[in-house]
Amino acid sequence: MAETIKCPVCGEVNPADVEFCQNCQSRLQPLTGPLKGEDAPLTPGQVPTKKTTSELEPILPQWLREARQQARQSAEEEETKKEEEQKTTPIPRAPDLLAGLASQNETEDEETPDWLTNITGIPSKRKKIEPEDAQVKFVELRHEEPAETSSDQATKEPEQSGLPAWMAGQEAAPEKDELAEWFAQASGSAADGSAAPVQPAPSQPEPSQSLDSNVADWLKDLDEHTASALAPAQTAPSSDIETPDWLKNLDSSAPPVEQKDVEPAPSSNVEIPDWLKDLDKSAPVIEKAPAQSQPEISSKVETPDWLKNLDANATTIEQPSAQNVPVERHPVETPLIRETAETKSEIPDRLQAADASSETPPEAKPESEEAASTGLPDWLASLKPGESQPSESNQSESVFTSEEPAAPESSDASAFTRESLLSSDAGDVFGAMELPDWLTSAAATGQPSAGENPPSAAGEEIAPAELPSWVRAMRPVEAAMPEPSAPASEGAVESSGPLAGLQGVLPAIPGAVVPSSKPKSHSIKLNATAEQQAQAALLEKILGAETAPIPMKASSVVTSQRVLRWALSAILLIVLGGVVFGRTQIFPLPSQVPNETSAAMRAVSAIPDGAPVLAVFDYQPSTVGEMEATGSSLMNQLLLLKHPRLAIVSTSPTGAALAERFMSDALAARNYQRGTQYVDLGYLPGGLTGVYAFAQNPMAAMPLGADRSAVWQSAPLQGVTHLSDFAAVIVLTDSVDSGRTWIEQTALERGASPMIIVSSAQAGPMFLPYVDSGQIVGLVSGLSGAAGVEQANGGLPGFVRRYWDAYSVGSLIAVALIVLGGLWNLILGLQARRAQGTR
Amino acid sequence: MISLDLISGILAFFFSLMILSYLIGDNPLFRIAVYIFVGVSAGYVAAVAFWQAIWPDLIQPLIYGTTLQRALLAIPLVLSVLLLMKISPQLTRLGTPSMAILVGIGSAVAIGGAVTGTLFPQISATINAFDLSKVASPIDAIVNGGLILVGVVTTLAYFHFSAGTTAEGSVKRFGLIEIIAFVGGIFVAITLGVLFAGVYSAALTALIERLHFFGTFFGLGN
Repeated sequence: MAETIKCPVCGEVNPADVEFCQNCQSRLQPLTGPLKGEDAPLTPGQVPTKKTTSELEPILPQWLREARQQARQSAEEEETKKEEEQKTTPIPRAPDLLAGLASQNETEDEETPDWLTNITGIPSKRKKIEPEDAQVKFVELRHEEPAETSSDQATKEPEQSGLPAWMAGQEAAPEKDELAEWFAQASGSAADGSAAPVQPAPSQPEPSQSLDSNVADWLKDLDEHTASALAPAQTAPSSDIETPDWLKNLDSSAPPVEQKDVEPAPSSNVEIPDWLKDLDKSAPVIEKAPAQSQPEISSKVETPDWLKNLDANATTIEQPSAQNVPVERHPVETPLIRETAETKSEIPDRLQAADASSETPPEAKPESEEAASTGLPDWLASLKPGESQPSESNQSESVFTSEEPAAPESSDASAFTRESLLSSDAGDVFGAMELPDWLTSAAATGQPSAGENPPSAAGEEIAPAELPSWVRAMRPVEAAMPEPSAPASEGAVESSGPLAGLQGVLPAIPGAVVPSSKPKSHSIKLNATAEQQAQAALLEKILGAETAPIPMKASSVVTSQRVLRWALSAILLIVLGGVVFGRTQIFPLPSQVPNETSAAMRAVSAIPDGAPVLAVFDYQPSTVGEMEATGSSLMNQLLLLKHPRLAIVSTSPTGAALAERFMSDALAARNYQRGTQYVDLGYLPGGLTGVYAFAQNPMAAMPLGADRSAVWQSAPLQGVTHLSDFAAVIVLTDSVDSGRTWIEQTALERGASPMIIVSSAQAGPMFLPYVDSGQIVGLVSGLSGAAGVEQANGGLPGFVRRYWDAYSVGSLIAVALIVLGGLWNLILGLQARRAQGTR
Repeated sequence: MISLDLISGILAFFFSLMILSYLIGDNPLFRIAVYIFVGVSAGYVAAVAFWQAIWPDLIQPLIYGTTLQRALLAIPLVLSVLLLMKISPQLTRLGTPSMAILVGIGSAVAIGGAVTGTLFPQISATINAFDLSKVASPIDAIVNGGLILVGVVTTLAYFHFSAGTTAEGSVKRFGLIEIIAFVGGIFVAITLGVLFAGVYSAALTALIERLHFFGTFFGLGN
């Protein structure tokens, strides 16, 4: 027993006890519990077990269910059409093995089925073929609703009560069997002396496969009486069934015969009606089998009691007929039979086998045929007093005689013709027709003995059943998909049931054939038109263009910028260094002084001599060079001309140090002394708030100087208590915000004190509006503004003159570079446009 | 003997070179110089803030001041301590009142100073540009006043970004505003040019001053 299961879907090896695949979650255990372990193929001669394959109907593939449903519908339509045609132009049909059953449904006067007539030894009447087709269809479909035939209405009601349609149809079919009558007439002359006058039998209840209660009482009684006369043990008939008197009489008159054990015909996985099994049983009766085999078969095969009884009854009848009563053959010379005899090669094997078995005892003559011509029921004719009982071989011969093979052939042909129409290839259907192995093997081996092929229980190895041709014809998979490369090795092909031939439908079973892990190939090719493919290609192209990276030229730009920067730096450093270090004075100072600068000089000139002046140093160390050069000229003029007392304050923490540097370096020539000529109030914290506070009350805002001395009592600040007490407020700043803060916050507190702004060149333009508005009286902005002041000083040496040449050269270099750079860019732009225009 | 001026000159020279090395790109010398400058400036600012603000205005009065001065200084002391809570993320909310006072007072002072020191005087100056009594020539008044007025109006219109939606769905300003704004753009461009020239002049002057320092340091300058 395998302990693992290989998943049929993904090939994953799973433990045997798991129900679903651990990899793909496919079912490994079958859904239907009763079918577990019972799907093994049957071998020839093996007694099959009854299987309820209808449970598999819900799990069938959708295509198969639809195909089956379509087959039923089409079969019904065909039956309806044929029925209508038959009503108009009845066509004689060849006698059929199965036709007798169906014909019984249609005949009022022949209530006994063939199998029953075989028991009695009376040859059965030939039946209509068309109803048989439906029954064969039923056999093939297994409990499926057979195609509607002429007896559809009769079969519908019994179906609801649980009886098979073909069986129930016999019970309710009121029609007359024309074929039976024809046989009766044909065999009338041959059975003149022997055949007893047949009394018309009343309509009797039909045997049922499933319910003993449905079995006719007379049949049970018959079985009982015959069984009591036989030595071998037979299936005990029920004793509580009342036997009609006439039957008792008949039974009493029947001579006891030696029991012949009958080996049951092994059925294939295909569920065969019991009546067919019975027929099959009757075939090997000729062989002398051990009597002990009969009970075993009955116990294993669920055969209704009445069938068992009939079987036993048949065996009792067989021996005398075979030994004592030579039976002459009375082939029915009918055109239909001749026609079918010519096509004997097309007879199914099972029928040929049955025929061969019937031919084994050549002396067996179907007297039942002669009796059937009398019009009496077969069973009644065979039980006629003084008549020899027909043997089992006679029964089979009457059915499977070589001269009468047309019936099964026609039945099969008619049955599968309807199905073959669905596949629109009737030739293939007949050509591909295959019969269960048990029938073919029976035909090949003649009569299998019980000793050779003892009935085995279900589960033993039997030959796998093959898919019926009509199902095979409806399979779209075989037509569309290629055959699997190694189906035998993969072992997932279903060997029986309606799923026969399919691979990988049912989950694997532990110990069973290891399924294949190779999944079926499916076409993944997209069905798209040329236009759709073109649109898809266009969309893909657009998306590709959107997502395509654009090459960047950053590296070249960065390189050029770096080179340009180095070049410009070199130019400036070399040129300016040469000018500065060469002490050149090529460029004269400007002769015209800006208005704001002139206003600043006038304001300075207006300051009283020795008056307190507030100097605000609000610039950063980075602009020291410019601010010292710019402010030194004006401050030199102020200190030189007016000798003011300076109070230095700064809103920048570094302002005080820069102021000290300014006084010691830029105004070093003035030699102003701290504490006596100027005081450093130091750092004014609070930003504009501090400025506002200082404007409101300077003494309160900055009570101490930078050296933490009481500067307000010092000489430079004598008499100064308010901001307006300063003669002028000079703001040296490099920031617009700083200068504007002083302008705004001190506007109301300055009073008449003028404010002069000495600013960096970068902040000078922003102070011009304040100059124009009169908020500040003068502005000295940058080196150019200082140049005007220095020019006005009358040649007083200062920073401007030392810087002016370099400043002028630097300005010219800047102008030249800007112009040249602009032209270069203009040329490049024109070239680019020209290149675009050329393209 | 090495004088302090010489040491200061050597340090200034090397640090100036380190800063000027930025002309060839960012380099460690430039970064070192910057870091040192920042550190020295921070230290100097801290020392200045302590000795010129905290000590004389807070600590010294608390120690040596009168009771009234101490009582009055309690408020700024508490606010200052609360403002120090901004250092800790858990206690930062405690510094909010101090920050609120700073912002409130600073905003009020700034707005008041802007209104009284810039807006009204500038508006008045623009109006008075056409005052013929304050100018020598009416033509100058008209030209200057006209330029100032046009410059102010068009520049204000340039910063007027209100626009409507056209039929095509695009956003566009009114036609007259668009024309005025175009003229204002010219004034703005001129102003930016002036500012750029001022920045360049300031930087050029600073470079010249450093070059002059180098000349002086090596005895090349006067």
